[in-house]
Amino acid sequence: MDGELSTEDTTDLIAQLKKQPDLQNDWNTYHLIGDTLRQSTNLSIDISQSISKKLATEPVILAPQVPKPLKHRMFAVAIAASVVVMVAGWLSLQSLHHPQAPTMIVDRSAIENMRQIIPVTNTISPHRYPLAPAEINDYIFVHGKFSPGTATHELTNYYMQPTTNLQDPYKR
Amino acid sequence: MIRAMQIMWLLLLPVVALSSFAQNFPDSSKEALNWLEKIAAAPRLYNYTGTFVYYADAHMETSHIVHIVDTHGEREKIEVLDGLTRVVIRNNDEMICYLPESKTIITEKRWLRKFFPDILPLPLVELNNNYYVKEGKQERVTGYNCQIIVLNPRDKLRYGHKLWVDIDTGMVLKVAVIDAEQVIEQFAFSQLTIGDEVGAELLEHDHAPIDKATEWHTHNLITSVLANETLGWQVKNPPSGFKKIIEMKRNLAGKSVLIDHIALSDGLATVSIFIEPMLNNTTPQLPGFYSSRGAINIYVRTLADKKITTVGEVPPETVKKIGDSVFKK
Repeated sequence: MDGELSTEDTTDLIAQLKKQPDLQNDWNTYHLIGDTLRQSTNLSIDISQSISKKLATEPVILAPQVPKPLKHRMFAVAIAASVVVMVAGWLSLQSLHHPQAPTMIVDRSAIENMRQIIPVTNTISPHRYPLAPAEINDYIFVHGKFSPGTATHELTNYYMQPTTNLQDPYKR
Repeated sequence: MIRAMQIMWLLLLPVVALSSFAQNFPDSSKEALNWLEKIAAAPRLYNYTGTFVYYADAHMETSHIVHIVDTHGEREKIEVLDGLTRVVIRNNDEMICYLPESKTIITEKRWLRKFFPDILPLPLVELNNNYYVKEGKQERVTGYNCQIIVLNPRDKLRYGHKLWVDIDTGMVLKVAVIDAEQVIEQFAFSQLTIGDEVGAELLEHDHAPIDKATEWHTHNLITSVLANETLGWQVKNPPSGFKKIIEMKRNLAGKSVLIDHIALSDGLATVSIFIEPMLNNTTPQLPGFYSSRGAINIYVRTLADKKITTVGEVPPETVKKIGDSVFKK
């Protein structure tokens, strides 16, 4: 998986992998785990079996099909790619223009949804994960006590809330 | 089946090994480590005034710094010049931060924080274990001849650093934090004067607006440093190279209870763990990863009725590993 295995071992292992479907399944699973951990956008999901099953149940169309010229297919692919890029760009802009509100979502179902959404936003957001809500800036600020380098920008968001929203629990 | 398991282990081993893969860098040279000692000493030896720029995620922020070392110890004032006004005044371990727009003052009596360019506050012993420190070429930064010092991480658990160090004084004039060849955060002086006498009046803050107004809020940050292993939490098998440097109880503005705070360091990067009860009257933080600006990553998880927030200038995987290494004693 990472080029660390010697050539002799690799040949032997690949031969065994080809013979044993269980091992192939494991191999695919580990690739999928690896991709997920690396937040890869190209998950190694083996969809060949499910597609084969689908195809088996599809009715066979016996009408002759004229193959489309390659040029047209390339054009279609280019258009599709452009649309994807534009949608991704638009979504990025949306996220930039509507930064995450400091209020939190309480609904438990929303938490579950959020977990599912996170990997999707990775591909369109300039950040790998959702931007920290404003209250986390307070943690970052006090963390900075031990952490050299960072300037004072973390303070801004939290302490720039309207003063009426600020409550000092230590005030007597 | 046993054979299959063996093969799977064989296949998995390189993956496991990669996660804790130590790149085969040699030991750091004595000359390179000497530079780090010079860097650590410089802020306690020289006065300086200057303007530095912070850049990350296409965001730039300029700050002005005045730093004085004299018989009173170390004092400095940093004023952020872009956007909303923020002024931090440090008098040895005391910190006062003024935020005029929200009429807020934040104070802390035991402020150990070091601001750029004072970036190496911890003993250097651990550094060589976790980073390969080497001398690069020489370059000019804001008129000063600098020696580049590169800190290559020995594994993927931490970010790399590149420091531009004034050859004469050891002052760090530029820092780049690097994740796999990509600069994710940068500090650099755009103007700097080192060594001249600096008038103490430059440290003063204009208190007139505060004196006139009554509606200013003051938040006193209070920490209580505890003896090791006093808190009811254990950091079990943290990622390689990270060691606990302090544990304490602290308050935070907006929190009605004291929070447990544990900090770990690998000699350069630090990670903080905050543990607090989840109160019924507050909105719960969603568990998972969060990004902040630059090199900071955040990981939130829950453990029984506690929320654990882990924050640090390390890759997300490392923040998670550290957050997940917290157990109740």
